[in-house]
Amino acid sequence: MSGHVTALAGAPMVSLTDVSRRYGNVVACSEVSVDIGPGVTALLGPNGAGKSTLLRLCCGLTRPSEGVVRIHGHDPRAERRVFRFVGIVPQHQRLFPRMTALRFVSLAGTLGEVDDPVQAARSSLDAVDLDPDDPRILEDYSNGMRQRVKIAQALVTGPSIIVADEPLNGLDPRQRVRMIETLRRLGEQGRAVIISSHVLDEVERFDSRVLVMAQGRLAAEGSVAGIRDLMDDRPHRIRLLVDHADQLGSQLLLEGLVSEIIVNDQRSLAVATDDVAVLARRLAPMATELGLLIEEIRPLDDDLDSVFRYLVDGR
Amino acid sequence: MMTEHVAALRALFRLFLGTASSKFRVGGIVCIGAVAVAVAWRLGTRPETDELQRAASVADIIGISLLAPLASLIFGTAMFGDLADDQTLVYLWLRPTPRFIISVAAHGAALMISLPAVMIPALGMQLALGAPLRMVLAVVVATAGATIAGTAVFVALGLITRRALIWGIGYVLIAEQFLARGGSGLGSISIRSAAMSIITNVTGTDSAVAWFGTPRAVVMLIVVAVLARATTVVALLHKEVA
Repeated sequence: MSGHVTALAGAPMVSLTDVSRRYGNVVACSEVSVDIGPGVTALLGPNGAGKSTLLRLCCGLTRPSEGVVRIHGHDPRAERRVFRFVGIVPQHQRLFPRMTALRFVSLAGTLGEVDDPVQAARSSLDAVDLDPDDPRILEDYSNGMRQRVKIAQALVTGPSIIVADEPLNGLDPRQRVRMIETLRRLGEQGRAVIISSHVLDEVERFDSRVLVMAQGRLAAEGSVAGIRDLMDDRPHRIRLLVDHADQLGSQLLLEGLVSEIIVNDQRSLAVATDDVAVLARRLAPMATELGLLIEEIRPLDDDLDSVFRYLVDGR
Repeated sequence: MMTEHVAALRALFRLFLGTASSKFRVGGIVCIGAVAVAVAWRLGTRPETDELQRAASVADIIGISLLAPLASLIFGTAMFGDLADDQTLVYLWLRPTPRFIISVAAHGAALMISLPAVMIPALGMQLALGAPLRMVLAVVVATAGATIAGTAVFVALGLITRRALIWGIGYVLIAEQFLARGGSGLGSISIRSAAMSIITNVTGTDSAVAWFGTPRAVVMLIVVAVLARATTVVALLHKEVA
């Protein structure tokens, strides 16, 4: 174990190569390869997709069953001194309850071998708009304040990599805006900020690179706009309530507006279409021509989970 | 580098001490200690042909077999157990701090609470029984040795397993009560056996669990403490932190 570790020139800030992680028979993460550099990178996926496991792998909290993880070119499981480069914001809200924020963040600075931990802690707390001289103990802090304390302790060593697991959880809308601003600013400063979320709208506000996780795999990669395109391009399923479902279904098939149709009963049918806009334009005139009364049009899969299903299963 | 390590050690020691020393735990062990002294005082009022043997038996049954393992178990397992349970261990683990410093801080904090919790009643019991000075000194050395070794074992156990209290109780019941009586072979994995060997050798008393000479008994306690400390460091190096 060397006394000092420096970032290897040219090495990605975080690099995962063919990384898998199994817990018994459960595959939490499977054959993930990705390099992460400066800016905000969001891991997006439904609950249980493997986001937290991937975050934990990224910072060395857990070791891969297979594959290679490197932080600035170093193995975090073998060289603990690379933890100087890493700050973590865990998902849970638990802190050392009987400490003040200043003492908690100073402790992080001391363990991170900062020259003046108390001064560094003051600066970190200032950076997240918390009063370093607040005499209250952490037990008395609100969720939003605790979240900011967690960020302050992650920042106190001046890390180049910040890993935040669901950082917006438990925050009210105003606190969310501030948290997003803070994390974006850190990314703009040249740090690698890796966050996880299962909500696309949240991730959109980070203006980040997106890694979509589904069933332990890296299912897609790109910008939020690209993910939005995926949502638009994939087949959409829509439920229609109409007084003669079979009649409307036949006409839709005849005109080639839908690729799939399921008549549930006399008044309900589900259809799949590749072009929602064309279907929407044609539906009302068609109903008029056939003398039908459409009571309801409801998208069945206009959410992120359906995008994940599509990416993983192709359905 | 050394200054940073000393600062980290102090900070961690304070943290472990504050985390493990809950009012419930400290209150519980103080109550048990008080009951132990009261029992010893009651025994001391009864006439006894061999008062030295009675003092040795009380030191064994109440001090080394009960108080020392109980305090070591409660406070030793709490050091890492509490942090692992509430998932705050990550704030220590994901730092460049050398793992032996974390281990030393945890063991030091466990001793800081356990030693007074065990030694004060142990001494109180001997004073209540009117034991001679050599018995008191032997009890001090043996009980301190048992507490040092015991806390080291239970600090390691608290890190390795999530059910440290259950495993710890199992160890106390099996190794310290049952195997300790099994001669110098099986007894060599018993802290109680080593500690009682010191007392019986120094005072010339008898015990069903004393099998070793004083030097070997002292070495055994040191070896147990060192091995347990090393186990803690290795476990920290390989720990998967939630």
